Amino acid sequence: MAVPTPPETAPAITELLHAWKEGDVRAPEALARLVYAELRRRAARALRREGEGHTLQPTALVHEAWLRLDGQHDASWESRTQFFAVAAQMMRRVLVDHARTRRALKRGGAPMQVTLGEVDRAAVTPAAGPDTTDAVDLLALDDALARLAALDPRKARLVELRYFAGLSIPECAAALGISQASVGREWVVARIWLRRELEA
Amino acid sequence: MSERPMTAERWRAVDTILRGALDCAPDQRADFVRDACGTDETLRKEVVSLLGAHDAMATGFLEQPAVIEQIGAAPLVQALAGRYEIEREIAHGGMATVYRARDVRHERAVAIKVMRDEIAAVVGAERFLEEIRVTALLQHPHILPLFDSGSLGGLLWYVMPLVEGETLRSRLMRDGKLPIDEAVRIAREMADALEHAHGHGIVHRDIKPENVLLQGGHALVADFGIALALEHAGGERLTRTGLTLGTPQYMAPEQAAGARVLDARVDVYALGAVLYEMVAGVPPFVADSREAILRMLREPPVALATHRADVPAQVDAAVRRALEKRPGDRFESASALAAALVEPTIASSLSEEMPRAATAPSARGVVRTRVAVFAAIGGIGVGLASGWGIAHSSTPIWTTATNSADGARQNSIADAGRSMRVASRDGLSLVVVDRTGRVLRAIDANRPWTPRFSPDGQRVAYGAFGAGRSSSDIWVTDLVAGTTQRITDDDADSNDPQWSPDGKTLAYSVSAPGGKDLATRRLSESTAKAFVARNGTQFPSDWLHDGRALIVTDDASGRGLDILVQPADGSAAKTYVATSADESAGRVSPDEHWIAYTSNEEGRDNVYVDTYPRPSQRVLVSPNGGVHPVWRGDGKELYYWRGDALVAVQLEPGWGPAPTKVEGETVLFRARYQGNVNTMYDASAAGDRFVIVTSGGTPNRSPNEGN
Repeated sequence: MAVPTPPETAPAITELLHAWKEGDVRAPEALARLVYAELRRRAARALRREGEGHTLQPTALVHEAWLRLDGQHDASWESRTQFFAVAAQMMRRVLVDHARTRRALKRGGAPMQVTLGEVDRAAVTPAAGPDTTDAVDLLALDDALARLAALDPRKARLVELRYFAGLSIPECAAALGISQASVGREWVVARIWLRRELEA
Repeated sequence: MSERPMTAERWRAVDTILRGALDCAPDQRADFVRDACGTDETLRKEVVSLLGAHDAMATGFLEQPAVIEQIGAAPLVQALAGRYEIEREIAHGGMATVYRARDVRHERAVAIKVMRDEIAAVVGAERFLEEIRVTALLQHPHILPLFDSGSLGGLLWYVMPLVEGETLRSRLMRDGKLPIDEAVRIAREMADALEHAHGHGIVHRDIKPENVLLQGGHALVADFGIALALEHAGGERLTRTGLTLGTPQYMAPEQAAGARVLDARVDVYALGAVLYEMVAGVPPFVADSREAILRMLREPPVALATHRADVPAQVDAAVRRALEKRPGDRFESASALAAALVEPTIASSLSEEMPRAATAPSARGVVRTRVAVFAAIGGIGVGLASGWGIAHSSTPIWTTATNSADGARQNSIADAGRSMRVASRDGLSLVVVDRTGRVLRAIDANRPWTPRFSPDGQRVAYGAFGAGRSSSDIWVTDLVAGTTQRITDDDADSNDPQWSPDGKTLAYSVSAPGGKDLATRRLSESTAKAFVARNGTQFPSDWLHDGRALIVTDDASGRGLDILVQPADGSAAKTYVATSADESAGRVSPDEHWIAYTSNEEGRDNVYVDTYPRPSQRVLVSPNGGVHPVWRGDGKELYYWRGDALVAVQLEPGWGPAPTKVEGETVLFRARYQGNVNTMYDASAAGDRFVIVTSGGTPNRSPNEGN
């Protein structure tokens, strides 16, 4: 029942967020490193389906990472929002790295440096959801997302928040500082654009 | 794609026009785009290309978060989609995992407990959910309520409020023992919660520190009804998963020994064990081995004062009494325990009342362990008596039957049991009716079972729960004098009374670890006589008119139910019929040449008549199915139930090899007959009155069904 305590080596995330807000240019990177390490650990565990395989939800990963890193319940919404933005980017990296590693392994290449640990693909059977389409090629999506970011940074961030961090529309609205209706419209267009890019 | 490199500025134009087009009806989009783009053909092509992507896009594209899409959605997340969003795991136990989640509809944080896969796989989900819904009715400041429950795709879960706090277990792990005052307060709060639940007929059965949450220091008892629901829904299959229902350290001996019917006093015991641990820092017993369990069944715990000198005398005495081996030696209720904790005079007088019970292992104090004690770890059997699992408070269930003005056809067994509909299996009443189903009288009995008329028809013997009692006793109601007498007074469940031909003795079934035994009791004497104690379950269904033998239904063969003939002198029983199907409820004809019984050998329950004492020419009596034959006193009419219809058939027993003839089937009336393995009604010798256990409803004669 106990809330996980933050690792002693982790500087308080709130401090970093604060420093970031104050204009410390090194803060985002330090923060990202922390979040990345934590998310990778959490994701590896989820991908191995520990914990009985009941829970595998990006928000769960992100919330847990938040609690673990920050270790406090009552963090202000503002720093949470910032955190989610960072976490979403990191989730993207974690998952894309994971996909890249798998591809490398499939081709018989040497494992890349970044792995998620012993992911037993064979033990993981994708469940067919109601509108499951063919799994998205994450590497192609990552490239497309980079192009989208050049044209429309906000939409790219929205994709990170929604698709990689699994945030809800209201959560994305709060994180991006726009209305929920705007999030809805932007989200549709972002999906359409990515859909076309992936087709090409 | 586009002929000119796309820039952010140009993209804004595309974005704007695309969104405008999406706002149009599909058939107007082309026109809209043409108008909006004017002469900029490149712009138009770009927008049209994106609209094409939109039309080709699956609705689910990117809507599943990446982790789920890549790995496959976690079943739980899918099952709860739209209602709850899992945030994280907060606890993890042998039976279930608890997640913190958000209730989307009510915008609140909740805890969702998800049963382990293998448990969900063996319990009947529907049954389980139905059982725990009863507990949703419990509302008490010290009971953690149930919000919701559900099952989908092999998952089984229930939803509770999220409590910010810790379990009593984690508190004990951190602090070892608690200050006496606090331990007593927590125990009293738990007792309050238990008392409330017991009043609603719900026994917790798994009280332990893990199930007590501390919120602001106050106790909230969680998981009411879960143990029972699992037991009812999973039955014996659960034991194959290796799951132990109940936790050995806190389990009352009768629960550990696999008693089928448990009452409030198992919770009293467990509460005593938890209080012991709060005070001493260790549980009274550590039942981690067979030896330890045997010790627990026999020996008293180490005195609290050994662990801690500052234990007040009344706390020590109350804990000792709560931990008595025999349920009858414990506090009758959780509230009595709570009171004893703070009232020195009561506690000390109680401890004087039974000075040695706690310290001297006596034969009396040892729970019978006829069945291997390892039933304790093997789990808890659920069988014939499963409908009795919930100990109920003694609310009278009978509401006076009202006959309609014309007094004939609209005879009703009223809405007996309406007040108990919460646990419908308990909403039973015992009524005497005539051949048309008209209620002649109601017998005030709580959860009546297996009634039988005495040979002279003046008295009815039956099993029922007395006021404040949590096991079933045998009762006799004198219909002429209007008096009711309790015949048994032990802690076992007694049912299935059968009258001796002289009407002076009753033979009946007595619950025993792992099954039922037979006992007899002369009505003029105060002690029962153990009659037959074999493995498995035996219950009598008839006592022969010459008095020499009982007809017994028995499951000891391991191949379903069989019918045995049990000599009244206690000598070895003889098998009458034993197939791999179930044969039960045998009744011998008054001339003792025939026996009628229920069998499912042909795929469904049917009533058959065969020769007695040896089967030779079985005749099907119920062409459309039926159960529980009862003879009229002259042997020429036989009754049985087909669903809710009481059917009468005329019998012309053949002679020698000639077959029995079954004629003139008539539906006498309909009622909500409480069908069961046991025969739950009886007919008077003249066939003019019936005593029936019913769950209410309106018996109605159906002339159409006669022939």
